[in-house]
Amino acid sequence: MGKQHSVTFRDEAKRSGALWIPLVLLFLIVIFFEIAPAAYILFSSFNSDDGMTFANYAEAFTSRYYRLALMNSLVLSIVSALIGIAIGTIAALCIKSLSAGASDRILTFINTTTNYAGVPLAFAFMVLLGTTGVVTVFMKNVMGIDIYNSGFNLYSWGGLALVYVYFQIPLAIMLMYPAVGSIKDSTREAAKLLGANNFKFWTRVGIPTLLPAILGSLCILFANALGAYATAYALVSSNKGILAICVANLVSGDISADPYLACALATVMGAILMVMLFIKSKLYNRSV
Amino acid sequence: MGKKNTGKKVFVVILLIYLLLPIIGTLLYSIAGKWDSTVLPQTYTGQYYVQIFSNPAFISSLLRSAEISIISALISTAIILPCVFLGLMRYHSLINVFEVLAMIPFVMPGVVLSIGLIQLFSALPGNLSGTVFVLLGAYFVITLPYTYQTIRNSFRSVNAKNMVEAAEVLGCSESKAFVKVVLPNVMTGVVSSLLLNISILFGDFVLVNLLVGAGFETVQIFLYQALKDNGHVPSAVVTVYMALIFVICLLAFIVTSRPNRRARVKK
Repeated sequence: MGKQHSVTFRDEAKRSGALWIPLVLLFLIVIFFEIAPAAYILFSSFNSDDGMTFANYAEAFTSRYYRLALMNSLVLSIVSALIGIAIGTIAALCIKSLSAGASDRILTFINTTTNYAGVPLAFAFMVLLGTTGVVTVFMKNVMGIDIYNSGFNLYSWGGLALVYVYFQIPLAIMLMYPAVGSIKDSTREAAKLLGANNFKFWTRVGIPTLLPAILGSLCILFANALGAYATAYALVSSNKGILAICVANLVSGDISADPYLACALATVMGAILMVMLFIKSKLYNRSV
Repeated sequence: MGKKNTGKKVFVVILLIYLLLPIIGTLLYSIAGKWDSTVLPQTYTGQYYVQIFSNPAFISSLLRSAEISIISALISTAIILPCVFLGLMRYHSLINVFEVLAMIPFVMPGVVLSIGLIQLFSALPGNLSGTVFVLLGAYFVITLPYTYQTIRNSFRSVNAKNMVEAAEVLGCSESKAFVKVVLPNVMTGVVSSLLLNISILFGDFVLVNLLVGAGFETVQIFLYQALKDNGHVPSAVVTVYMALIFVICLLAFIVTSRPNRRARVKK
């Protein structure tokens, strides 16, 4: 028909009508609010008042305080992710075995609980297990057990981990539920016929089948915990040094504002998360 | 086989109790008068709810949260919907770009994004740092993965590509096809994406706190300030928040589980 093969922007714009406006807006927003800040952080992490330097990274990795914060964040994230995935996988398997209607309703409920994180969750745990919390007082006065004397403390690392696990479990269930569909009843029955008991089935067939999904979900849960700020901030504020709170304090803190160091720490966090993302994309996306 | 199934049911029940415990605990605390060492409160009272609902600061924080969540959700959906459409119909590489963009919030959690935005906008001309404008942009970015995924799934489920191609064969232009053919059929996905966005943004604390701070007091900020008071008032706030989230999720569930209407074209 004699149509020109080379297309100009004007032709494209004319052809799409007004639809190209959202496209332009999208790119503008993404550039200003996603790409530019990321680039700025990277650039700033090598910057200082005296010019370009590696000093920020040096401080991040040599300072006892920040090394500890990094360690604490990693341990907290790994522990809460591991417990979360263990409970979540078992829960997903159990929910799957229920009737279709029941499992739908339960999943919807679990879906809403994924929203209960951050300040409201920290507060709810304070109401239950704080020093004058409902459960604490109940156990002290009625059952004679003083949990705070026995070493429990909601405002300690253990307490923080407990709260983190609470919001990891629903996420773990939502992540693993699509994957547990691959453990079919027919496979289990076949294994049974061939003489495998429960233990053998899970160790030889079940877990290996689920392993990519489990490891991939583990990455997501780990990233979820590492980036969590609101929950820790509301529960222990600046008393416990985790990476997320350190970064925020360095930028908005009154005493020790050091935006360059904050950017270095943020880049370290981003790098860890990128590794997690890479691992997850190799494992989880294939298995679901 | 029966014994095993009972074990699974028991596990699920225990799990549900565990998940419900903090929620119920907060709810009871918000209506409790005297509650010393019993399982349930000894007396009940609605005074804390009266207190917060007659507090203009609380009401305006609720309205602010609602405002910013709804506006942000509308902007996100309004921009991403046509882009996904264009990506599916013509610029296939756009879909790949989207997949990458959707992963960036994974490596830039709230804290990291905030400090980048604070520093960037402080350095840029114009007094934008610390304004709600920056917050809106940040909200767009963090909800991008969810909005994109929901809308993409919705396009897939109604087979949008075939519909539009059929319409174009019949002489319809592309933008007309978008408005009259695609839009009515992906409405479910659009509404559920809006509701999902709203529920996520209602719960955001880190971005509001770091980017705007007390200048724009949302429910989450109000709650954080209220933590210093006695426990009953914050628990009323938390219960109201959780009730709202529950309503939003319920709406989303209703919208998405309505029987699929047959594909129809608006005349």
